[in-house]
Amino acid sequence: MIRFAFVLAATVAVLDARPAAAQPASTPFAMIELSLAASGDVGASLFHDYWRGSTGAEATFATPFYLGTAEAGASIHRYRALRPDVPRFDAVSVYFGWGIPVRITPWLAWHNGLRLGNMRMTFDDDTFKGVRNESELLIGLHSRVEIEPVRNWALFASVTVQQVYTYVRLRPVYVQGGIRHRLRSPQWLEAFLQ
Amino acid sequence: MMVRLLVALVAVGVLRAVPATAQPSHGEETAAQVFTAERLEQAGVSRWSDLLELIDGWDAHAIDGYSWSASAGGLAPPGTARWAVFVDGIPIDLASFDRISLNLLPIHLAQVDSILVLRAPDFREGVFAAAGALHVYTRKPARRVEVRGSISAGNEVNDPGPFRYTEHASPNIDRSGPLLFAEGSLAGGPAFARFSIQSDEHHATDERIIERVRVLYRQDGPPRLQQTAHALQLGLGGPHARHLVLAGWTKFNDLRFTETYGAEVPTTHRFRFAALRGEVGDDATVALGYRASYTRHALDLRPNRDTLAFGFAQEQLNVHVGARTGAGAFRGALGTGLRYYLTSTPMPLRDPSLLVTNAYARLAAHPSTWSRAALTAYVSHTYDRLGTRLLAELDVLPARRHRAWLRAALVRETIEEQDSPWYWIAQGYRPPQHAEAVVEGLSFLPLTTTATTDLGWSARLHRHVYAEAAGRYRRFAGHYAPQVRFVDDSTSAGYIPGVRVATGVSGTVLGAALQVRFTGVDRLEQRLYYDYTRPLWSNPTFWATWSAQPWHQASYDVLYTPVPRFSLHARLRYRSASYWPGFEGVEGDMSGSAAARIPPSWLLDVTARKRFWGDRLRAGVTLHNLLNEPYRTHPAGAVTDLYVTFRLDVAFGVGAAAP
Repeated sequence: MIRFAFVLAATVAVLDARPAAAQPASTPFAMIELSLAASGDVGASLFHDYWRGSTGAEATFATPFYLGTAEAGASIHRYRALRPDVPRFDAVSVYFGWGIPVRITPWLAWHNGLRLGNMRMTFDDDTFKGVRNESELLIGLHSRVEIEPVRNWALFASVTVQQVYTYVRLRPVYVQGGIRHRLRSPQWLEAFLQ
Repeated sequence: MMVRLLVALVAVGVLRAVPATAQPSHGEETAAQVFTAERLEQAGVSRWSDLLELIDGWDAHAIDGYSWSASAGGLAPPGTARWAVFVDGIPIDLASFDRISLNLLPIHLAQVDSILVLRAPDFREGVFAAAGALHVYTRKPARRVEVRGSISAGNEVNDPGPFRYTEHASPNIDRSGPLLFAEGSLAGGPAFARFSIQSDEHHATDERIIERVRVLYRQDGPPRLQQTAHALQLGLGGPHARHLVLAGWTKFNDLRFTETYGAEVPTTHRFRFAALRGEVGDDATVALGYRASYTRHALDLRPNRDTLAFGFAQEQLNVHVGARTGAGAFRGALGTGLRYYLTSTPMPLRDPSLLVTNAYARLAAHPSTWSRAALTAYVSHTYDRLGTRLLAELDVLPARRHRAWLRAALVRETIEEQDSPWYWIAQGYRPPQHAEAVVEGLSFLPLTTTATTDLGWSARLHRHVYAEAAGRYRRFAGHYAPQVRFVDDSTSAGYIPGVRVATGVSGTVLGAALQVRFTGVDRLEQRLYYDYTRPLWSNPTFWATWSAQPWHQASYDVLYTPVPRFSLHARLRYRSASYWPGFEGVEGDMSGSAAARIPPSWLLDVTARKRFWGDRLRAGVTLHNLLNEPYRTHPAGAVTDLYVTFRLDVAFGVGAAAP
């Protein structure tokens, strides 16, 4: 019954939904969205048998990009070692993304997208000369629900499932909560992005 | 009085001038592929060698993933370096030891306007390019002061990451690049000057290669290839004259797989060239052309664990003068030239110098609007031997939007003309050699014969559909082919080679190609290409040589430009298996397969590109080998998995023209 209600609600939401890009405010690069979030890795994989992520932070810049929204962002997480023979490390992810925001109600929106970027890991260890840092490709799926109680200000909760392409893949799952502010692009920025 | 007249002529010439580098139109080229600068960026090309993976009908392979060798359209055996490279009509001899590494070019891709790739014999600029050609045309400098820059780099997946500290540790995979480039140019009226500098870096990341490199390489840190290059271009044009100066210098710290050593030999390759090219006269009547160039290749050994000496330096002087008529239905060209080589090695050579002279005549007829024909005869002379080359070209427009063409060539050339390393080995040069290697060079200097026929048809079948079909026939007689047999070296990670240069190698190669382009969907361009090339009727040595070339190659390109200044490009490629008999004696290391066989592969590359700030800034990111198949093109070569590259270009100018 619950599943049926969920499917029905989702179907209605999708059928009723209008892409945010169709709205005048979604002219390419006309608006920008800045968001800040607290983030935590709740994944469970081989990687998480060795390291546990502490609460991190993520900052994102997004703008309407024709069909959908383009975004660029960065996040930082510190991973503490769960075993004495491995070092702790900081993971800084920098990414570009693209997604489609769907406005379900005037104050509720659901955004789904794809992210592509790089995770840079800095180890608290000098065991291996010249490789204290390591960078690797990351690909992620991102889903976010936003509630906009005040015009241009929104609270959101999101989940990002990432795959980092190390030989043994890292599969962090980040759960985030934060605030997003939308504002009109400065003219110089709009001209730059165009 | 004469001085005044000269000044007046120059003044008039400058006022009515045409640019020193006119941008070419490639609309009527046949058996060719054209790349514009825009298309190269859209396809995610950052290094010259990336271009080889976009060229249809060429087979390319690399050991280190940086210096690629290629065979063009089955016109020369795999593993040889016979195709020609031109920059703005000036032939640049990049070949050294049977390898043409395009990355040696001191010109950066950001300086390119267009590239014309030919997969059939061709004659232009006084050069008979019997084995294919690649013509680079540089960008016409805008009439202002400009500064340009570019940075690109790549990273392959499968690093150990934090698992380096665990029992799941794996070898480190290092980055590729960065390739940095900067250019300043100044143009006004018909004249321009352009100076550029670039540096590049590439890491040996494949564990097998690193182990082989360590046989000789003794520097700390991961083994790397490093390159720096400078280039200078000066141009002056007038109503009836164009002159161009092109000079470049490249220093390449290489880790060169040397067949006679069976491992990578750390070398420093210094490449220098300076060229002057010009044309005087009126296109409608008679024009005189001249060209003179100096090229120097020097290979020295980098510090190593052995007492090896590469020690090969070659200087080349190339001079050409020619005249052509441009009037009426018949056009003619006559010319002559010489190439003088001077080679120095630590070993005494029987004759360190070599002079090759040539003369040619070409007659082109354009008797009607639907047909065009040309015949070229080219004769070369070296010592007491003559080489001859004939090229017949016929283009017919049998119906509206249809074109058929025929290229038939007969090439009889001496080994001296090919500047083959085996010629210099026959003269007494001894390349770095494994202590247990057996090397048997040429017992006589061959005179090879190659007959080729290319037949094609192209048509615009519909407003949105273009199709092209081509067949080719190549007959090789009296050729030579080095036969290398490797066995594992129990004392090191390298191989013990056995090298014998076979002569009297003869055989036939047949091929066919089909291309369809479709632009029927809005903002979407699609292109499908299939190529089939295989040896037939050949002796065993010929067969063994050509089995290294895959018989089937196919590609599917999609370019999607949903909005201005943004594009998505995808290229799916298929390459059938190839077989390298020289590695039959080597242990296999890819999924238990024999090392001699390269399995078939599917490759998908996807590029997203965006231009910003009125095109002053252009950024692109490419995911190569997105299917993440272990990919290699040579039995001793690097295995490449999914890797990502980015490229960022900037351009600023002071003056009226847009960047």
